[in-house]
Amino acid sequence: MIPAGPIHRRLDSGNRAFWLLVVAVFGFRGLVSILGCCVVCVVGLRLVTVGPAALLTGGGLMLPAVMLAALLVATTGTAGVRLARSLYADRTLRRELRARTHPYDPYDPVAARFGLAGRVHVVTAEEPFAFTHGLWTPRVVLSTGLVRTAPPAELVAVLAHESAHVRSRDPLKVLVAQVLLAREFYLPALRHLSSRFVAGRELAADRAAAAHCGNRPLAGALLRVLEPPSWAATTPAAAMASCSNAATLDARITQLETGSEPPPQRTPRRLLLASTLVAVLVLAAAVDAAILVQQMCMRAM
Amino acid sequence: MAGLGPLETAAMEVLWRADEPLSVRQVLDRLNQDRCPLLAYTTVMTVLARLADKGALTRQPRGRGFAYRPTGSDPAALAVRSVLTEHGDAAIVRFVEQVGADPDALRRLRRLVDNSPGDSPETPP
Repeated sequence: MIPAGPIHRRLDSGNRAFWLLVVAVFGFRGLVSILGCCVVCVVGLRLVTVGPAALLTGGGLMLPAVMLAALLVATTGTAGVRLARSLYADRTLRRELRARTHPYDPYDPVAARFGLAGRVHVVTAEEPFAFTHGLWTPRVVLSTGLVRTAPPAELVAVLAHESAHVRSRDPLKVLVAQVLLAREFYLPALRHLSSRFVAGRELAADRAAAAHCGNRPLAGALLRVLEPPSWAATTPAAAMASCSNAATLDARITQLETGSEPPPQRTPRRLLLASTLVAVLVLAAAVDAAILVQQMCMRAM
Repeated sequence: MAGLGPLETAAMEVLWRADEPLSVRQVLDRLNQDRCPLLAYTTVMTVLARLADKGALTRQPRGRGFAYRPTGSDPAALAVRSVLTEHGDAAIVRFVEQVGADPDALRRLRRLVDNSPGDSPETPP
């Protein structure tokens, strides 16, 4: 059992990382956007009235403004594409799952205990797995393979874990993180922050599950889902693992072993340095462009 | 089954019935047992390669060619897997990523299951 410990009013490390990501992106972006909107207009106007040659005249005076405008347009584009793709994928997945799942009646009283009444569905598949999806009303999906093979205590552990994701609206947060990353793709430290968000949420959900039913059912459920079935025993599973998944799993097992959350992975200094450098460059371009816009306005008056 | 043709379905059924990965030749022989006219080797090879591309099979080198085995254990699992693979962009939070446990992680989990004191794994809900 994970010791309760003193009650902290702080957010768990996953949500801390998520809100840090949101604040970092909107803070930085807000600053750049105020200047950027005027810059996009001015650059656009110059392009229309004078033609592309005008941007290179004046000793490259317009160059930072042009680059900033290009960056703003490009990143808004990538974020838009990402958002559209994620929303489409979410809608299709919901439709497909609706056709393939049925409500999980026998466990509805248990589900209700975790605030999941009517939100747990079962999908026909031999592999044992469970996940939470749905942006506005998150739902939990269990496979028939898991329901059939897992003892009741393990299913309770899985439901407790997933209910933590539902309560925190993690699918929606995942989508927001995806879109923010797609927009600020040139700041590599944010990607690291995002994986810390995912790992931190998993650890928090594990703590919620262990507090309800102890370590053993949770470890058992993890093992049941992870252990390769007999027909897959010939494949080296480790070869298919992505690094971040392996690190998250390692942290989850360590938390079960030690009873406390392992310290989050620090952002590598290299990423931090590169991101700061790029952010400073973009801000410098924005300030430079703003001064240019101001000068042009003064001249027009 | 979602997105599979008749020959692909037949090949999948052969592989689901088998206990081990099969080579193209083995799949061909089993498909041709009750079939007239017989299928050509290259036809089956193409079908298996296409199934591997769709994520329904994985292949491993064996001799001069490949041996194939299904990634899922039955048609329903394959359908669900293809839905999840196809819409991997959607915001999903999995209980745990299925692929990717190294033997050491599994050993540590097994130790936790065996040694956790106090709580019985069979507590009814």
